[in-house]
Amino acid sequence: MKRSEWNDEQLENFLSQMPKVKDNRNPQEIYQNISLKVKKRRRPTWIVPSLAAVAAVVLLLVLSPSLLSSLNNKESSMEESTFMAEDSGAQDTGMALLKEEVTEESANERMDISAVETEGDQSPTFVIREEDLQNKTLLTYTVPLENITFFTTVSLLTEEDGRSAIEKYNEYIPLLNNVLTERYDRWGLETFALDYISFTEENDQNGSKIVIVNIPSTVNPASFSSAEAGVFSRTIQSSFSHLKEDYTKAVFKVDGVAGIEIGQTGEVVESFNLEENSNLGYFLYTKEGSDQKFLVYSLNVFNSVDQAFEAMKSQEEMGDYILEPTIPLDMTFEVNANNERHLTISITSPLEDSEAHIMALEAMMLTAKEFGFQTITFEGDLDRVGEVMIGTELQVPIAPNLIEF
Amino acid sequence: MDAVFQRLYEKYHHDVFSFLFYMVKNREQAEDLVQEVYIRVLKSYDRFEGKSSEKTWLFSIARHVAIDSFRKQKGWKQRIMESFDWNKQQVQDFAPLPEEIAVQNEQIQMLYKCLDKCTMDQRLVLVLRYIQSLSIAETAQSLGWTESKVKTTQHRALKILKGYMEELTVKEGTVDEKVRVER
Repeated sequence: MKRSEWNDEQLENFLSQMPKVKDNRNPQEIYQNISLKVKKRRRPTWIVPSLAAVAAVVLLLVLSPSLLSSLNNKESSMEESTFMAEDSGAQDTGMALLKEEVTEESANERMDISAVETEGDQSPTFVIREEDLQNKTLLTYTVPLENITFFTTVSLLTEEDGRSAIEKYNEYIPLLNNVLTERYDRWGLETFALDYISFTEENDQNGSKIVIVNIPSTVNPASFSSAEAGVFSRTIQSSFSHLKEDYTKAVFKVDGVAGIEIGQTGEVVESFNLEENSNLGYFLYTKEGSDQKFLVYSLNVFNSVDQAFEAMKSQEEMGDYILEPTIPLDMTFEVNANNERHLTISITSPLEDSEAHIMALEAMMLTAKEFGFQTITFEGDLDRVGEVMIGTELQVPIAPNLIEF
Repeated sequence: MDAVFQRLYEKYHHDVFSFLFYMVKNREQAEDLVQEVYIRVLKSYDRFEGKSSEKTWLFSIARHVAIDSFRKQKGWKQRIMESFDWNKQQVQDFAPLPEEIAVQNEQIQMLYKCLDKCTMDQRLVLVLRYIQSLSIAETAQSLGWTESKVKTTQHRALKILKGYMEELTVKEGTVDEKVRVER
């Protein structure tokens, strides 16, 4: 068989011989096409939302007296009917969300600005701690990034209203996906994939809480490509493990019947155990040209927490996609597992109160949590690094990547 | 006509158009996209700080426009599906070559087809480095990357091209002699 060998030079030569392709239109034509769009002044984005808000307030004032009186009578029957209509709950909340979104848009802009303002006096943090959860309900969602090479979990803090995370879960998916789509250019995170599923909760016979994954019969998980099946499984496995309520299992149901086939495996799966200990590490992801940092799961599962920490000092790489290390190469430390629940990390290199060191310590704490540790003590030459106190026993954080919405 | 537009048109229009064309491989789409580039450029021209050269600034905007258009075309779910759909890829191989390419020699035509096998990042680097003949530094500036990332991506891209070119050459068996003569 004939073989030809190509070397880089030849290739480069041919590449530079590729012809330039010319636009055959004349400049006047092009200018005409664009001039309309350039000259049209964009209305400031806040006008529409604030007009809507004003209109809503006026309507509320006009309607409230009559509404209040009729509401009292109807309240009891209303409650019953919303309970009955649980299945269509998604649509109902959709309306509520729509309303929220209008004010959301202008809120978004304010949010961004306030984040910048507070940066001066508050040190950055990449995790959510127990004390952040006062009067809040934590919702966590796992999403893919970089062409679904990696996964991360993002967190929303919502006002506590007596409902559990799973009871609120569906309501916030459209909102989350809206934010992720809008900020894709800066954040690089894909949307939460399972937006077609309705999540509910139950207690099983042992009294432990389980998540019911209700799959509509129009969706056929058996026909998933391997990539889709991967996203599906990973999303279910990681999304609920950070929640405060201890859900032990995710049970799959199609039209109320348990068991699904995921991808072309031929295997029927009834449930996933939601294990808290994933034995994963955390790496840093920032979209090119952006400075928004996310802690992202490692690809590898590690045998020990030491091994994970060691790996977190270098890049995590898959093809063209790269996650940056979370622990600086020059940070040296000794890790001591006092028992299965408590970890001591003695940092022998000098510490600094910098974003890089905050990220390193917080990524270590999250990783320790993935290995089942509940408390952690850092030893080092500073009193504190960001929010992380040195020399005291700390609870491991609850979840990574708080999203302001 | 706007003076800024006229100046930019004269200096860079064909480069930017050519760049977009090689990214999307479709004349009509490239025509639309080049207009989008002007719209974005003219809207933000007063904010251009001169930190980078005008040319790399234009390319960086063109790159965003191209990427946005890919994103609009397909959500990530379709992107996955497509990578599994072998029939579709083959059809693409036989899509008619644009006139400018069709008149070139076989190697150029093959290279043009093989560009499809590279990832978007790799194609960006190849087009900027060789077809637009930007330097490594200029390419890095246009893409907002480090120079070392440009170099590694370029290296990987050439490797992939090489692989596919060899495969095609063996399959077609015709180009062999020419290659040797030219050496």
